[in-house]
Amino acid sequence: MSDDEVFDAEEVYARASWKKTLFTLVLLGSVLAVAVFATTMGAASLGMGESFGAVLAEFLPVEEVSTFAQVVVLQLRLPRILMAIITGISLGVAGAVMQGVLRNPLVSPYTLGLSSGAACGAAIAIVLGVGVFGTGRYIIVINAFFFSLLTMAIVYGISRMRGTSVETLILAGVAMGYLFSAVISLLKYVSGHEELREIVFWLMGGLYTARWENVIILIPAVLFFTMLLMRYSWDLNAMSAGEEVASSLGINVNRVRIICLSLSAVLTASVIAFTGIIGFIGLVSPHVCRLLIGSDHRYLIPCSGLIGALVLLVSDTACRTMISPTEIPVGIVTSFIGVPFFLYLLVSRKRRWWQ
Amino acid sequence: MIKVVIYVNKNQGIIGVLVCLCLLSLALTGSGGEATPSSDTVTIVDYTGQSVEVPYPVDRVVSLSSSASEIICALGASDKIIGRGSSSIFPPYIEDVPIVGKSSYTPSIELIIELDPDVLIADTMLTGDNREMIEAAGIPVIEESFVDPPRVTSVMSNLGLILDKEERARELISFIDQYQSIIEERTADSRSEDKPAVFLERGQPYRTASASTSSHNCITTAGGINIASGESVKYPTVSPEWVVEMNPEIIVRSVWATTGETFTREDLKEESDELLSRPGLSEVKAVKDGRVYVHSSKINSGVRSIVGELYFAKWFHPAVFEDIDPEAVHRDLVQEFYGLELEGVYVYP
Amino acid sequence: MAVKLKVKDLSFSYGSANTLEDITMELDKGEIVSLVGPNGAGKSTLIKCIDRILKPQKGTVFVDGKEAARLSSKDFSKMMGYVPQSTLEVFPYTVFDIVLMGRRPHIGWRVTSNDVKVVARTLRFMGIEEFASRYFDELSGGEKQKIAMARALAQEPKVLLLDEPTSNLDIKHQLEVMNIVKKLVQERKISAVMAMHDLNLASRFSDNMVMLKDKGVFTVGDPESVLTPANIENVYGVRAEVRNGHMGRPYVMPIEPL
Repeated sequence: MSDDEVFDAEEVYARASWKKTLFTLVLLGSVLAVAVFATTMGAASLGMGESFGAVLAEFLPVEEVSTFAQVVVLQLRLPRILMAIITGISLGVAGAVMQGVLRNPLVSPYTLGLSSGAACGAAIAIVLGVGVFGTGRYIIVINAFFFSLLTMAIVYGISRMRGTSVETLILAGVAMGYLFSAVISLLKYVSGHEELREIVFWLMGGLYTARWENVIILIPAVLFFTMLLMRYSWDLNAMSAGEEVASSLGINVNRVRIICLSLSAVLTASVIAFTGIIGFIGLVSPHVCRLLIGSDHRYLIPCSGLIGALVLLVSDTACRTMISPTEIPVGIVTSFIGVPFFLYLLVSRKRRWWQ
Repeated sequence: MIKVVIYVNKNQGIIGVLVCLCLLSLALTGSGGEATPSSDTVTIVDYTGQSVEVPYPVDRVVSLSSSASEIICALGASDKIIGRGSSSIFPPYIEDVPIVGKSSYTPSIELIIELDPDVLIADTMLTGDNREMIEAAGIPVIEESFVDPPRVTSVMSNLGLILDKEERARELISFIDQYQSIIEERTADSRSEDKPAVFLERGQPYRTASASTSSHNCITTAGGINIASGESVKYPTVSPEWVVEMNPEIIVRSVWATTGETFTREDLKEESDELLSRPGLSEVKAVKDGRVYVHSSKINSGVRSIVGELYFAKWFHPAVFEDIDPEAVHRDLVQEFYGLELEGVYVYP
Repeated sequence: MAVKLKVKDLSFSYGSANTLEDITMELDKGEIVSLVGPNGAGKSTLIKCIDRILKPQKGTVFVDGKEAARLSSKDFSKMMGYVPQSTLEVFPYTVFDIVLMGRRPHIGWRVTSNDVKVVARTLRFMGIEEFASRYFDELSGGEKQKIAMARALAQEPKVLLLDEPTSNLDIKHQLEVMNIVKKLVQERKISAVMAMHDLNLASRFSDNMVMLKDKGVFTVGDPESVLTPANIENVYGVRAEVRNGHMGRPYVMPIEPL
């Protein structure tokens, strides 16, 4: 074979890789652009100049900024924008990894029962005032986190009893989800008026609880777990061809599976413990990415995270501003914005790999 | 009169049959839906505008509404309550009464028909279907609203009438009225620029109430301006930054109390501390001036809502209401009408 | 010729039922060996045991004189390539990406230009380079089979294991796939083990055959010695005539079940 033909294939590959890299960079740019734009949006009537001024004044001794602008932009908007971004990243990444590791396009933190588990933990804390670690301000957060991880452990444990088949694992997740939903319904039914409202609020999810002290912990945690998961990109690629092929490519399938599932469970749990259930993103972000750039997990994982961040940030900004000062629950807006977009991609693409 | 009733719900099938049988027997005896008026009955008009004819005096009452239960007990007729909704928890001795449902929305029709009371009192959460079913069993239903103070007054006199406790009802109404008049008189001449801007928070952080809610009425009556009155959602969650921008002079936080237990000072302080620690609020006038108040929702509904009114008025206009001690009024109220000592903490600070 | 692959006393069972018992076989360099036998004789199971996909309860596998069980999974996967009976990709991958997965044992995170060259060469060798940027699910069964083989080849293995490589293909693709295997073995001096259903294709393309029956090896040898009417009757329970086929290879004509 001649050398120029080999060179050709290399160029084809280089071009494809460059396209995916570019796509990733464009997504990153979009997230940053929307984030900048979102700092100027809100219920308080602050001009663009004032909003940016407030941010700049933090770093440069440039201009005089009103305390009001500083409070609104630095204490209220910025943490919330960052919270939207990291929550979106976590859910998008966890969704992509879970779908990849289980080779199933319908899997998400929601279908595996993680969200219901977290919700159940939160509901127990809200209604009974009982937490894993006693009582206190973070009782809901901590309960949600541990119940979410507990769910993953139970689901995985059940599937181990039946030889770790993927189908058992997914069905066990769905079943646990129903069980926890039943517990939540029971708690909702027996609880009083205001507790009920609090549970409903938690179930709808939202980013209004964003605070710097939480965001500061979550950012490094989310980035760390995302990086860790990205190290398994090649293994996930190989596993999508089936367990046997993956294992013949030198991959310890069971080990990769439990590591990836646990890491994504921790990733999901750590954000939904603060935000409540935010559905849809974990399921759909990976699909949007696959439709646009294919399934190579080296690109899929970061892009799915960024798509998740973008969708959640746009949705949350819309929910803050559409009928301000009243805020619309973010889950409602996410679905209104995300579903038409996803359906458009679904019907406009010829490929039907999900069949 | 032939009425075909089809019940889809499996659990209500038996009741359905029962109701059908009742209808049938009523039709056969010719009494139908309208009983012949006699001197032993009395007719009142309920909130929905329906004329309800009940035996006089009513001896056996089922109350699905906690406010109704409070009023009946205040009238000294607690012994006439034979069934209650599980949210009726005040006064404490009412907890000996059997439960016949959770609220007006979820009554246990079976238990109610079994108890066969002279009248059932519910609030507006009662569904039309349930009302029909209970009425079909021959139990008169009074559906009432307890949101608006004037309406509550007329409920008090209606209940006084049917329970033959008119004198007691007049005492209760005048007790409440005297303080209501004080509030109205003293806030009437305060000019609108003297009225403080108030942000009221109910339960969840930043959840507030717009116009046409009892919370809004409470703020307005006490001489405050509800900053969220113009919102289109009844109980909206608002943006924190908007609250910062509106810069309210007073923040009131209602903490929901759903059990019979009362709050301790620590409970309410915790709520207050949480609110004060929220990002951004430190710049708000109310926080700077130390005018953030937390209170238990118990003084905001039913007979005791006058106590809440007085606290609001005193918080909004401390100089004008200097001579008023809401806690003393609260103590008098529970002592005089329920024979109880005041326990627990209801406001902070 | 050097012994490339050696299986010694291998036993494997699912649960309590033994599916393989004391299998011993050898494979020389540059040789194609077919595993034949009726359904349930354990052909696929043996392939999977050799590739460490299944863990045999007993016995040893040697590759290039090294004991397979002692190699790290990465080193082992550099020696052994596996082509499954059928490949189903749930998610969309391009052909290039799928073949690149075969480089998994050789790469860390970054793809080197050598990896890309190997993939390009393999695609060309298989005659499927024009599909490089197509998506896998858009291709036909025969093309998919070639891609699965290309992925195994990209591993640059010493031994190629194929699990019924022709079972879902039309006759043209059957021949194409078998010719590729043959060319591969000759040009790259590697060895191939195939589980085969089709006795005549096996006869035509194998140097040696292992006939399995009732969990064990029934007979081993070149196609002429294995594919006799007596053996076929004994193993398959079918009366058959064996004629002289193309290039003198035996040609099996099944007549009737016994």
